[in-house]
Amino acid sequence: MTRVDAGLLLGAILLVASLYSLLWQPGGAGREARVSVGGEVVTTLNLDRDGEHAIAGHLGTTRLQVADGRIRVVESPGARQLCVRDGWIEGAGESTVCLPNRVVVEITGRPGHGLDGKTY
Amino acid sequence: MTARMTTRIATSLAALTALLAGCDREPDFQHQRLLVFGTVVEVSLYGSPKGTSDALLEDIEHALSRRHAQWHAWEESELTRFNAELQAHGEAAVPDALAPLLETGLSLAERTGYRMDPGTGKLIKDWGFHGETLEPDATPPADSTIDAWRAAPYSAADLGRTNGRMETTRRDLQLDFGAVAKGIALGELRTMLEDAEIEAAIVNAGGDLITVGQPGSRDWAIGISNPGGQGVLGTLGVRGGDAVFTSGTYERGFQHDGTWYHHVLDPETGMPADGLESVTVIHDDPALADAAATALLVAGPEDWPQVAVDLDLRDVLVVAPDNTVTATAAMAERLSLDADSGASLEVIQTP
Amino acid sequence: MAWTEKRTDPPLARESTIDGGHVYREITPDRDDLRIAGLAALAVAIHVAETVVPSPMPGIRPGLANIIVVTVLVLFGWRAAAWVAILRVVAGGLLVGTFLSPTFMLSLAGAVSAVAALGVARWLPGIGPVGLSLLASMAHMSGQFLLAWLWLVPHPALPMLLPVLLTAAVAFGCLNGMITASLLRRLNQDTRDPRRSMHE
Repeated sequence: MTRVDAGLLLGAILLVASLYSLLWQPGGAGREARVSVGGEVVTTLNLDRDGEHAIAGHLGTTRLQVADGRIRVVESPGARQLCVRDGWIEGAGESTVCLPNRVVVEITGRPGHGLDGKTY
Repeated sequence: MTARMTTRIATSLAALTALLAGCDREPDFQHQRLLVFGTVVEVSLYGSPKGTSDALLEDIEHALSRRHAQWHAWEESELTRFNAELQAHGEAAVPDALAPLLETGLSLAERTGYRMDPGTGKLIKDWGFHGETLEPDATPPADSTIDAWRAAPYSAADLGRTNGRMETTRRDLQLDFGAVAKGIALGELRTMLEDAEIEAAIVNAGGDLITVGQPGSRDWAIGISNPGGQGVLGTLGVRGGDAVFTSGTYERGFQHDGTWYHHVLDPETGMPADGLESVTVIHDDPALADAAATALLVAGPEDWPQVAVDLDLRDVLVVAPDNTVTATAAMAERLSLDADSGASLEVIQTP
Repeated sequence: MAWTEKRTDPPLARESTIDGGHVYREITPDRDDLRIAGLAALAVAIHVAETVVPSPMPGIRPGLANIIVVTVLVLFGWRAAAWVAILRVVAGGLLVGTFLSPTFMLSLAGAVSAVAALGVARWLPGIGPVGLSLLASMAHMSGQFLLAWLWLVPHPALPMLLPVLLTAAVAFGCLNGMITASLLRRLNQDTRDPRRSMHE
């Protein structure tokens, strides 16, 4: 084995190792939250970019906050405030629904080993 | 040969993917969100026979919207027509569409000692809990209205049953099965899912769930909403066939003069049930789980363990306003409390 | 070892054919041609043998035929190696009966990727058989994977397999490279044509 060969082998091992950590992190790479109003997708938010977003729903404005790879509903018109109470969601396939305002926020991807559902 | 090869490669790769993704085989997955039954119904199907899941989802949506239309307590429905007929003649024939609702709903009401009482339609209406959204400036009914209810409360116990007909001497009785209709409808839905020969399914209808089978060999993981704050209180391990129902005071209600008035009314006092934030019940009968969650919330912190025993419930979890969680021993075994929730757990032994 | 027999020159068939006034040019395969043909036949045999032996994991095979491809590259240059690599897949496919089937297409995608990678890697100064075999193996796996993902199983979770497959590729590539190196050491003195190099 030449020195170059040894270098290539080391590089290959590092490449494979980084692929493991990139592709096998929970939820997978490139996480996004899909926001829809009344069944129509209105925007897709990158969860790696912190910020606040205003979504126009059927009754008013639903305000969303993205931070640390998570998303939550800060404010939404509705009597029960269920989506605000849901708090942060971050797992692939998790979602929260502001039913009165017809706003649905869901994290893309197949659910991992997070929750299969929530009882309330 | 070629097609077979393709299938073989595809399936083996898919199997390997599943194996690596979860170290456990999880069958194909399909998720659909339906806006039916006046709520969000999320259906997740695992390993349905090829090409059947779309048809199945359509059947589910259809079945639920049909029941919603037939069993609605205040909009034009079979139930409101039945109520009107009772009022007009003091008796009425039970239409086929209402048979499962009346039969199961009334017998469960009796079993709960009428803590869950479908005869409280008028009270619910007086409180303004009819209607999809509540006015922000809603007020509780006048004291005189509550006093009148207490003096002569209506109850489903006042109904007499004679083959296929029902009668009552109190004609103003308004039936409202809001506390059990979802459980009965989900029970029907579970039969549908079982007949569809899918490997596993979970249906979440506005926070109440039914399950069929299990995803691979693991239990279903169900989060319990934290009544006192955001996120989840903990996670429950739920086996295939179990139904999980929660009744909570935070679900629906209004704020007036600094007091929260919620929709779970105590038939005895005519007021919102007091003393517990939420009750979660797991049982293989969704209708019983639904009725029991309401009945235990109404029973309150002192009486719920006895009512649970009367109903033969093994898995019950209640949350008190101070965020203490009390669970039966069987329920505690399924529960893993979330460390961030700030809740403390007390386990009680039921006979 | 079957290899040594192949190395000795067999009697050459020299025939000129006259047919209807046409004179076919006499084709005289030289020593190298015969060696390459022999190696290609060996590659096909290994390829077929590997296809028949069931693999514990789909998509993972030792890729022993790549030993021959890299050997040919070092001894006779890239063109010859490319021929052997492609020939091995086509002939192998015809022999096993998978010609033009998805399995065949996956093999072909892998072989083409490996050949392309070797085409570039041979210019890397100081690279030896292990490096060549490693890069060929990883390229083979990546090409195969890409085709499988884009064409056969466009499942979003499939990329999770890639690191596992590449781990196998690195391991087998490295192992095959060492076998290639020791093979070349044995062959080098009397086989290597000083006029040829892998840079051809």
